[in-house]
Amino acid sequence: MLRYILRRLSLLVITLFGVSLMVFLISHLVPSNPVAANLSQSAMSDPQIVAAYEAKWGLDKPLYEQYLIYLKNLMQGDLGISIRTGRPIMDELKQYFPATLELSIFAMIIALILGILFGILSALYRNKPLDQILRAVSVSGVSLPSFWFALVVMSIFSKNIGWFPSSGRIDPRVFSPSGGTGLYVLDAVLWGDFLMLKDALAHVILPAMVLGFFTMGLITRQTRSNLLEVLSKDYIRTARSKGMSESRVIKNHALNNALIPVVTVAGMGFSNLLGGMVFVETIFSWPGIGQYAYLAATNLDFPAICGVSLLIATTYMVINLLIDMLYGVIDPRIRYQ
Amino acid sequence: MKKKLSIFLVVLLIAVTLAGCGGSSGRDDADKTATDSADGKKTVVIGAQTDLVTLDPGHMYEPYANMFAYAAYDNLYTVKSETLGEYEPSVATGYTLDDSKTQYTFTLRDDVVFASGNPLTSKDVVWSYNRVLNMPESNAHVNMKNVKKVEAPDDYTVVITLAEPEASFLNKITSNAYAIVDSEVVKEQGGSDTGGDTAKTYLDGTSAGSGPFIIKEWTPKERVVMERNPSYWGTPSEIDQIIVQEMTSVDSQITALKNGEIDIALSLNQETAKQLEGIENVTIKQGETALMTFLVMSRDTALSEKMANPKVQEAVRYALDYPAYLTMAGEGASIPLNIVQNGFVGALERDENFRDLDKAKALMQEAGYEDGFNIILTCANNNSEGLEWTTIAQKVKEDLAEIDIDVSIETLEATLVYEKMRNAEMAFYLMFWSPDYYDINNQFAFLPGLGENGTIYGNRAHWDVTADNQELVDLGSKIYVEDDANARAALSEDLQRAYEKDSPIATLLQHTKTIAYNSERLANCPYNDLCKIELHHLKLK
Amino acid sequence: MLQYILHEKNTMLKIGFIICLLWILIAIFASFISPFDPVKDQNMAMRFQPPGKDHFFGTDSLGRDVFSRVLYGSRLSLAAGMVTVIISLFVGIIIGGTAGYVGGWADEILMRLSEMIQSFPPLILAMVIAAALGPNIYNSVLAMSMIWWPNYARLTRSVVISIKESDYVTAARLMGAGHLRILFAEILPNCFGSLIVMATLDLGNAILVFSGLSFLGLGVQPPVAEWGAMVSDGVTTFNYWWISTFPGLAIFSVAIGANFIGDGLRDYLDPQYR
Repeated sequence: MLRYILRRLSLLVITLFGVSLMVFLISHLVPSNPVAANLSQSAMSDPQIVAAYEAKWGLDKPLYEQYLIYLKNLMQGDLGISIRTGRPIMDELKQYFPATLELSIFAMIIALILGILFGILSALYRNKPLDQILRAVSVSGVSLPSFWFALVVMSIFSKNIGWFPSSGRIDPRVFSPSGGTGLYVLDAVLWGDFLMLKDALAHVILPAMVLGFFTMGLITRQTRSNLLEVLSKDYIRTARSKGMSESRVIKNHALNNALIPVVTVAGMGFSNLLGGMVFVETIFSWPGIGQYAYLAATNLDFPAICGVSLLIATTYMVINLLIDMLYGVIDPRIRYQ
Repeated sequence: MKKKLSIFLVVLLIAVTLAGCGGSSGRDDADKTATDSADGKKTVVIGAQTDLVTLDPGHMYEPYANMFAYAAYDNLYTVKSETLGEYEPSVATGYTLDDSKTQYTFTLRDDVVFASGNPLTSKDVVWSYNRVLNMPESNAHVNMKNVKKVEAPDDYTVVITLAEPEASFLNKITSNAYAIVDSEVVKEQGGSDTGGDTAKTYLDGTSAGSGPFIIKEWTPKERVVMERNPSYWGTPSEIDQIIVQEMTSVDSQITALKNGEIDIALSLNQETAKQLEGIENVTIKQGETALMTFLVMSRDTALSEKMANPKVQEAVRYALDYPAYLTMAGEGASIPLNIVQNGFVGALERDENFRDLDKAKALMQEAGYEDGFNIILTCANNNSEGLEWTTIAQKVKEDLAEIDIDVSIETLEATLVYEKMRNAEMAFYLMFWSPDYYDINNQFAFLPGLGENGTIYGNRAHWDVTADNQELVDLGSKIYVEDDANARAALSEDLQRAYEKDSPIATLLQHTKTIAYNSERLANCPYNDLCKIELHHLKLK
Repeated sequence: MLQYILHEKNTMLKIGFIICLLWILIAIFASFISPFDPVKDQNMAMRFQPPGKDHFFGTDSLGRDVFSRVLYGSRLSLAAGMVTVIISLFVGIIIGGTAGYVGGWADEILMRLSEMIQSFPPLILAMVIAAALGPNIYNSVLAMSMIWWPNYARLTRSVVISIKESDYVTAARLMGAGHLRILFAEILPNCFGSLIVMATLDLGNAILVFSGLSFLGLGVQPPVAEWGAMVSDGVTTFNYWWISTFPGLAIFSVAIGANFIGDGLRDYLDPQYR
């Protein structure tokens, strides 16, 4: 087990190295220049200012030298300074990450609860109308373009019905959360501030719903097919033939086994969330990694693109590692090699 | 039994849904305190898409930069309320100009104090200016290039020597590059007036100025919180706290304004603002801007021999359906004749019915291209005051089809287009321009001139000075130093008429800014293009 | 199989087929059934007209007929989605097959590469590629294929590894079959079923991502009608809801059609889930 984890961690390092190298290579291929992205129209046509700018950000050095400097700093936990904002990328990621984490956790909770629920119902009522409806809902989940769905949901629930605030994380007039974990809902609970909890929840629900819908679809699908598979197994038949009630069969025998593979799908779903993040965060003005990544990419802020990519790659791999380990814990048949 | 389980699951589902809706009541509670913040402060919330990058006045250049700079800092001269580039004394009480027209002597007020309690004296002015002068990589530095030296003969006198005379200097001095920072405080935080300044990190999170407000907090992409400066030397604002809330989508700004979540929606466009028409407590307002959108047609025959032909370029100007662009940009938009925006000295407007397809076709024939040709129109993923460039480009494509120019549109990320523009690699493209300072002098970027001593758009359009257009350059240098308003206006008109004869630019639009505010809470919402909302002049009802 | 579709009680598969068939027909006959030209029929006097009897889906900011543009948009979305899936399928089979069959260091390198690409934020990669090469339909399809193949490679590899030591493969080897023959004739046919299900399910997803790239301005060039770009046309003017709503529904319906087929096919190939 320990050897397995060590191996996976060393692979993580190799992958991160590859990701950073890839960003640097792509950055060299892009026929553009951070100068054009970050200086004003007058400044970018002023040779003196351009030269000073390039010198300041090391853009005048050859690519391999830039990369070596980057790696050296990276070893010391320094992700460099954003060309766009001139602020340390570590600080920026620290600021944006909690927002994204909070949103993904809620999206994941919604996806898991609804997905498993729908999946179970769907399997129990196989080929009945309820099954058909729920399958249609889960397929809708994976078929909705999130950029469009976000607009529609916002328009209906916020603009027309007015149930939810239109955007942002919290009402700035009422609350000014600083310090704490940066996860506003958690902070509200820790501080025992009930009003803030309500406000933060009201803000997070719409974007989390949009974001979680896709994963919900995946999980519903997986739960349904797993449960059907398990229910056709011999030991279930044995349990039934022993006269065990159907609900006990499902609760005691089928569900546990059916839910194990769902964990993997949930992991896949988590990385899918990161993809939808760019749209959802932009449309709901959610100050997270998705918006940051989009701004970094379109402004060719290479240190920032690299930082974001490393963060996302790490998150992805750590989650997958955790899931694989979890898998082993709940299903002892699996051995690590 | 199966039934029991499913009933349980359905109940769970309902519970989850209810919990979801329960969350919504949070806002209702917040709404009850909509007028002010929880602790009773008089608060104004502005919803905007600022894409703010820094709050250090020595580095800022973004469209909304001066809104924050003006709130937290003072300048020697300030922009006059709701004007486009008119100025009035602020920290300075007046100035004298020597005969060489290069040496300005300002006298300062003696009652100005910084938020820290330090008095503002001439040494702060000198230090602040030298700080920006020694940050050559900063965007703000552009506006300072003509400053040769700054001196402080005594505590309340500042002498600024320019490299060459410049009639627009007082205008430049109203922008964030010339904001006066508290030299004591900034020095402690790593500030330097000789280069190697590291105070940006500090100034990104707070402010060190003497303005009407103090910046308390900045969470990028989320909000900026400003509080009234209790020791402000001028008339204090009646507002305790101003919050600028980042809202990336126009629709959410509209919704938030309707619901009372925000008091001012700053990033609207005319089409979207229409949904706010007729709502009782919302006032929609148009603000004058100097932002213009235009076509650039390079004179570089290596890029496109056909497009580089002056006759073709003139034909393009005749072929454009100007009223359609005005419709797109909405009420208040105008079409400058060429390079001088409405509101600047001597500005002329394009006749709306300028389009003359016969004349355009004749010009195409003169150029030898009566059968037309293909050309790529490059356009960035960008917009001018909410009007998408791709929309404009598609109309241009249709207009030019009338004179048999077959336009293919190429849209690229803005950053790629800027890089190509810098390197003068595009034959035909759509671009916008918002001046660095609000004076006709800034528009000379559009005069002919190639090479190191050339102009910005002279280089970008590969348009060199020739015997035929020498007149433009001469007029430009006269206007640059002319300080008599009437003489300047006359020269400006001459310049625009001369420019009309032959140029690689086709100006499409000068835009207006659309904002909307809650008129139940706010008595006014003063706007000028330099600092957008004049926070200090905001009045509550 | 056709028989299965027609006779079995698989409503989803039927609906999926009907939706997709309908869109394919629309794509082929767009020029005959569109009342207006999607590009040239600009009319500044008819901007922002709500849906009515002349313009079923209303008009956009240049007065073009949204209905005609939605019909024409089907061509690009379907083509881009299919091409992406086919390219990734092809690349995935080759890389996954090689990795699984050869094993050893080749396996290690190819799988690390695919892992790296999978852990790379896909949208960022696509954005950077599209930004670097210039946004047009070919580059966005290329960008998408580059992030898509690892899924197929992994599936192929796992099947290849599980079968390559089996008796009948050994038998084929003893009969003197070459490596390529063994790989393509004996091993790979075993995973075609799962690959096809995966590809159909991915088709919907590929159409979503393609329209997402266009939504960000990284897909097609205007004035070409493309659904994602049309949704983005309506974003700043969402009070004219029809400009983005109809293209959005179009994307949704195609994706749902593809997913229905994928789900249905899986049921067909793996009857246990029926």
